[in-house]
Amino acid sequence: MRLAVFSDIHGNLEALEAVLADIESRQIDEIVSLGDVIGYGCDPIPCLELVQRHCRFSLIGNHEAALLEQHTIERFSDTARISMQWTQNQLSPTWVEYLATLPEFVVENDQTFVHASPFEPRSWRYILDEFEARLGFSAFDTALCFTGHTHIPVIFSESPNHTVTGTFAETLTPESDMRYLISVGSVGQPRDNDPRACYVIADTDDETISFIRVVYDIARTQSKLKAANAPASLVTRLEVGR
Amino acid sequence: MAEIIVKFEDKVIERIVTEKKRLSIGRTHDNDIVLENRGVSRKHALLEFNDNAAVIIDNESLNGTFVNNRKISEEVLRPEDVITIGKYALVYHPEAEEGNTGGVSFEGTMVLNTKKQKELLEKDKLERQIVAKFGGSVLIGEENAEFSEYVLDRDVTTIGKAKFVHVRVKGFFVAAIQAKIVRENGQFELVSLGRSGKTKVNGETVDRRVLRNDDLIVVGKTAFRFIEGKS
Repeated sequence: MRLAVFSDIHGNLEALEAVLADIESRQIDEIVSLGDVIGYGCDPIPCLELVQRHCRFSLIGNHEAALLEQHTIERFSDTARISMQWTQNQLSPTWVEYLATLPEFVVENDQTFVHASPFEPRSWRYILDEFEARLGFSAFDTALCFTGHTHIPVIFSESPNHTVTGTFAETLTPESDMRYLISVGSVGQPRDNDPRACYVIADTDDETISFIRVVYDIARTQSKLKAANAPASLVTRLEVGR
Repeated sequence: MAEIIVKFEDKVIERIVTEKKRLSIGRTHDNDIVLENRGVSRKHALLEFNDNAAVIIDNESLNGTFVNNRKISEEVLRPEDVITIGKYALVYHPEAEEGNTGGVSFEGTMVLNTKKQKELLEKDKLERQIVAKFGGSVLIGEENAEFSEYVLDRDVTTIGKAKFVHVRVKGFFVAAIQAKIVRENGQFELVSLGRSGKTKVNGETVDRRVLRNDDLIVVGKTAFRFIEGKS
C-alpha cells in the first residue's frame, strides 16, 4: 500500500497539477489532502475540484475555516487577509457548503491526519520546534500522525521514554517502538527555501516514508498572481520558497 | 481425480492425473512414477487413494520419504502437501483441473547429490528433537525474532507489535495485534487481523491459512518457521 499525503496547495494549480502527475507515475494507491487547498493562490476552484476528484478525503485547514468563520479573517496577516477576501469572492455558496463538510481529524489504520497541531486543532498551532511537537504527541494515540500548516517538511520522533527529536531526512524507515509526527510540507507555497512543491509518500510494504519534491512552472503561477493584482510579496516568495 | 505435480529442483517436469487407486514410485521403469536418480530406491514408495484420502507409504527406502520436510513412514496427505523423494518434489492436489495430462519430459542430466538429502535428514532430526523436547507444535524464531523456540501450547496465540501479545514482531506498519494462530481440531491456523499485506506464509500474503510443517511465516519484518508436532 502506497499512500500519498499532501497539504497547503493554496490555490496554486500549476503546483498541484505537477504533484498529481508525479503521483500518477509512482503507483500510488491512495491520496489524502490535509487542507488549505485555498487561500493565497489564483485558482481556488480548479484546485478544490482536483482535490475532490483525486483525494479520498481533504481536511479543513485554517483558510477553509476562516471562510466559514468570518471573524477569524481579521487575525490573518495583511497579505493572507487580502487574498482570503479575493478567494471568498470566487467561491459560490455551493463551495462554501462543501467546505463546511470537511473533517478536522481523521484517525484510521494507526494513523492520524490533521491540518495543524493535533493539540487543540482549532487553534492552528505551528509545530516548528520540539516543545510544540511534544504537545502534539500528547494529543494523538496512533504511531503516526501527518500534519501540514507550517509549509516546512520535518520529521518529529518520540521515543518510548517520550524524548522528542526533530530531524529531516528524504527517506525515513520508521522504527517499531517509536511514534512519528510528519510535517508534509506544502504543495503550493513551500517555505523551507526550496521552491519545489513538496509531498510525502508512506509505503507500508517497504516501511518507508519519503519526501518528494516536484518542479513546477513557477513563472506561470506568478504571472497569474500579478494579473490578479496580488500583493508583491506573494509573488516573489514562490521563487525563493519562503 | 487426483493430480500429482512432479518437480525436480523447483522445475515442473511432469503432471500426473490418475484414477488409479495405487501408484508406485521408484527408480526403475516398472513404477507408475519413475524418478530417475540414484538417491531414489528401486521401489521407493506407494501412493494409495481411498475415497476421501490419499496416503503415502514409504517402502523402507534407503534415503527416506518426506512430507513437508518431515520424514514419514506412512502419512495421510492434505491438499498441497509436498512429498520429497531424493531431489524430487511431488505436490498433491486432490482434484485435478481439466486439461492435458502431460507426458513424461525429463530435462537435463541428473546429478546424484546426497547433500540435500543429508540436510533434509539432519533438519528432520533436529525438528523431531525440538518437538520431543517441547511436546507439541513450535514456532522457530528466524529473522528479528525475540526467541529461538516458542511452544504453541494455547488455543489462541497473538502476534503483533503491542507489548501484551504472545509473540512480538518488528515493523512500524504492523498492527498492535497483526495476526493470531488458532488451534482447532489438532491443526493450527494463522489468521491475519491487522494491516493487509503484513501477514505472509511462504512469501504469499494470507488472510487465513492452515499451517503445515516447515511453513515460513513472516509478520511485518519478523520471520518464524512452523514445526508441526504430531498429535
